Amino acid sequence: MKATISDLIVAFIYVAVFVLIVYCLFASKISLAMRMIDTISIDTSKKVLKDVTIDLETRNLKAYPAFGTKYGTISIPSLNLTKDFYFGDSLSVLRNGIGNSGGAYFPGEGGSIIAMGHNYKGILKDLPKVKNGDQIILDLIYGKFVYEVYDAEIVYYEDSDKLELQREEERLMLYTCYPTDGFGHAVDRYVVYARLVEEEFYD
Amino acid sequence: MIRKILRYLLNFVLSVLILILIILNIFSITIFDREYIKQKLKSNDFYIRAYSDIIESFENYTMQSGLDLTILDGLVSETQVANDINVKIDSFYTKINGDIDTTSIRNELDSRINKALEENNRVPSDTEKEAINKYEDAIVQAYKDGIVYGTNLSVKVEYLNRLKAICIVSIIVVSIMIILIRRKILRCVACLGISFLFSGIFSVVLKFLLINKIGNILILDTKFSALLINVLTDILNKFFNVGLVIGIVGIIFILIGNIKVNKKA
Repeated sequence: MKATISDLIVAFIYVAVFVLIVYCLFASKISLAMRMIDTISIDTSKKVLKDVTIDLETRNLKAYPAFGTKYGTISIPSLNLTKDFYFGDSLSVLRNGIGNSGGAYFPGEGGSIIAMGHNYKGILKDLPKVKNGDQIILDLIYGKFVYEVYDAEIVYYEDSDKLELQREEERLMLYTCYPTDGFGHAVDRYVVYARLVEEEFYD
Repeated sequence: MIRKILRYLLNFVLSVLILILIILNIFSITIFDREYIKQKLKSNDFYIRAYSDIIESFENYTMQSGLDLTILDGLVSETQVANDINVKIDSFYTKINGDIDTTSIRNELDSRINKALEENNRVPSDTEKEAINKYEDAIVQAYKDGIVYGTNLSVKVEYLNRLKAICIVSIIVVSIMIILIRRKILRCVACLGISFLFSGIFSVVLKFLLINKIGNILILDTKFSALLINVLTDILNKFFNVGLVIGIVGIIFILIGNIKVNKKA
């Protein structure tokens, strides 16, 4: 029995020695591999934030909608258009409605809001018909925001600096691909600028 | 004393070699086997999801092109996507050309666009012709990117087989050396048992060390992540199952190898 136990112990000692050797030889590579696994191992359930609300003092959202989710509607009464409003600009978002770019501010936060949609029929094909003074209404889960159009321009798709990111004044920049009645790959963007004129926060 | 050290050393080397052989064998029936990968692609609905992603990408370009989405109807099929993914997978494992032929897609799209222009009585300007060309380029590229992300890998199956052969030969050589040193066949069985138990413990522990880490992997996109998690979990399960069997066999061998010693005691 003693011999059997000693053989079993030897097997476990071998495991320990082997782990030690491997660790000594490949410590940096193992730790790199583990870091890589940790980096790509994301618990997505923790990222889905609910109950989106805003802190009215700091004008920061307390919790953000999950990326790719609908959190309200956008209406342009002059075009008789109402579409779902999403956080994000993924393909599936743009397939279904208007997306709010994650790189800018949220409505109510007092900064630049960048939103986009395809120039497809039923979405933003008629955006160039919007005139100064027309309203754009965002009815979101935490509040309602009314913007008034004050300008529009055509920019080349790489001229992102024309969509200025600031937090001095709440402005909505809504854009689509241009020309809206052309054929083929559109490389220009039609941007409509609107200022916040009315806001109401829900409880 | 030297003989004893040599005995333990050889037993340790044999243990490591058996473990390496187990790892190589599990890899050769999983990630180094293209049929296994294809079966996993199928069971994870990878082909269907790749087709959906390609269509979504096509729609993204079409919705900003002034063309109607109906222009995409039946432009590519699920079968075509699956076949092209398989061509790409085959090219990873063999030296066959894995280039995806998109000529038929481009020609068909071009003819549909021309038809749409005719229907709308539109004569495209030079700028529009260029824009249409860019749109077709984008669609073709989206298709290529959608087929296994347009990657070109080379899986060296022959290297793995060579390693396995070297490993088997080494195991035989080390085993003969152990037999020559220990002489008693039952003690040799106990040695083999120690090696099996070592490999078993290691394989079983591997699963518990990594299983929690891989469950939430998110890389490239959801379909690839799901596939990767499934393949890695399957590999770890195989390690666990093989480890359990080898470990039990190891314990049995240790008991058999010590029968005489235990009886004497």
